This record gives sequence, structure tokens and C-alpha cells, in this order.
Amino acid sequence: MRSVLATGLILTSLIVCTGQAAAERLIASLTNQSVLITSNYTGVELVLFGTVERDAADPMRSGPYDIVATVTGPRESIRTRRKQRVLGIWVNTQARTFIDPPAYLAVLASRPLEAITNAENRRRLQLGIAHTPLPELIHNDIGEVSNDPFRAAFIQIMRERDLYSEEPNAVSFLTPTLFRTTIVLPAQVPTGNYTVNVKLFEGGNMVAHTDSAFEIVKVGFEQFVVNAARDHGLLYGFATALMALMTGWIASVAFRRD
Amino acid sequence: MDDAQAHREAVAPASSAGAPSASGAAGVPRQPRSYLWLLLGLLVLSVGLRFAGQLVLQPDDPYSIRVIGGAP
Repeated sequence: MRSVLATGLILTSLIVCTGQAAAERLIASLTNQSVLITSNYTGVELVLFGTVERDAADPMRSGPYDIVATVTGPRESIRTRRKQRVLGIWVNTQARTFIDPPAYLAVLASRPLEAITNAENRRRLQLGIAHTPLPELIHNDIGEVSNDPFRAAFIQIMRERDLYSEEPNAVSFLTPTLFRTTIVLPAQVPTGNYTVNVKLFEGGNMVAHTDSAFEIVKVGFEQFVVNAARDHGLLYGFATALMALMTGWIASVAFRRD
Repeated sequence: MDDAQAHREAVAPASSAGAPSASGAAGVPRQPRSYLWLLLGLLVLSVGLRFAGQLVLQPDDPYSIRVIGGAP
């Protein structure tokens, strides 16, 4: 009898848990899966839109909802250097290397993150730039350093270059379940694969999440030049030197005074 | 006197202020070349002054970043 009751309780709890997990379904998509960088590229805006599908059998949760979308660019190691005055001149004296931080990071939310969920959830879910892991290489050790001036300077410089951003009111709900936001990609955005992680919150708890992706690629003559420089460096060097000589010769002919 | 020669003589006093060695009748054809050398010298000097200024003057932001690899 006890085993039957225990089995029944386990099954009931499983059904309840499954029902809660499937109460909302988040669907998101981008207007463009690929951004092409050509000679006249000056930045682009992508629209992220999506909807929340509610389970009609679960009337307990009906919003309001909050959305946090995190756009993460390709990762590359970056060294942050600090200048100090030595013998009357300013030179770089200290440096920290950040191991593979995202070269682009945008956090778009429907409200300020502090209003969406508590600090523990923000830290656990790595919401916002402040909670994004930025491991540093310090004396052959890799680790996170809190209250590090190099980390603060790195984030500040990336913000100034529009490569890191945190927009608390960037996601707007067109209806209680339909949302949209705009991802701004500046002119100096690095090429590579980008991931978009969308989290749905209700009552301070994450109830669903989904991922999307897009890529930024160079095309046309720009891509040809990049490939040539990378794959055939010697030939590329000779070609550019020859072009410089030809340009000088043509100029001398054009401006010759006879 | 053709038009080109008249033009050279007209601009000669103005150009010779920066390059006195190029003045005179024989130096008239060389005026533009010495003028270009003067411009090149000024350009090199300004670049050198800029670098020197960066070394001596306090930078707006003592921090800078540099990508050292990892991107595709």
C-alpha cells in the first residue's frame, strides 16, 4: 500500500513539474540570419521578435512577462594595458589579458534587470554585463577578479566603442505575449558567429528560454582581400608593393613637366 | 614669354619664402619640387611632434585595449 502511495505521489509530482515547465513556450526569431559586410557597410540593425505561448490548461500563470535578450559575439582574447608616468613619459607599465571575452555583448531587457529578478538569479543566470564572466590571465592563473580596475576599464572602453551595451527598456511588448527589440550592430562590429539567448521571466523567475543565432561575414572584394592577405601573405605583399610602385610611376608620368 | 613661364615667375616669390636656395632664374623649375620636400618635412615633423606629445602629455584615459587573437 505504501509503495502504491509513494508511486502515486512521485507520478503526481512529475506531472505537476512537467506541467509547470511546459506552461510557457518561448518562440523568437531574427529578421536576418546573416549580415553581409560590403564596402559601404556602416552598421546595421536586426529586429528580434517573438511570442510567448501560454498553456491554456494552466491559468495560474498569465504574466506579466519580462524578456532579457543577450547577444554574444565571437570571442577573442584582449589585453588591457595601463599607462603610468615613468621618467617623465607615459608608457604602458601594467597589463591584464582577458581570456576569450565576447567581442560584442548586448543585453536587451524589457525593464531594468534589478526590477526583473533578484541579485542571486542575476548572478546565477549571468544576466547583464556585470555578471558576464570575464576570466583574466594573472601570473599563469586564470580566474575572475571582482572590483578589478582593469575589468572596469575594459568594459568602459568596449562601451565607448558601442561593442558592449545594456539597454533596460529595449524590449517592448506589442501585446501581452508578443515582443520585439532591435539589435544595433555598429560599423566596427567584428565578423563571426553571434548567439542570441532570450530568457522569459515571470514574477522574478525564469520560466522559459530559447536561443537563436546569426553570422556576420565579409563578402565581395573585401573578403577577397582578407583571404589573400591571410592565405597568400607573400604574394599579397608583392602585389601591394607593385601597386605602390605603379601608382608612383603613373603620378610621375601624369605630372611630368616637359 | 608663354603662359607657363609667366605663371612660374608669378608664383616664384611666394614659393621662395619657404625654400630660399631654390630662388633665381635657374631654380625656377625646381620650385615645386623643393616645395614638396618642405611639405614632406613638415609632415614628418608634425607626426614626430604628435608622438612626442603622446609620450609627454597625460592621456585622457590611461587604459587601452588590444586584441591579441582568437577571432575567426
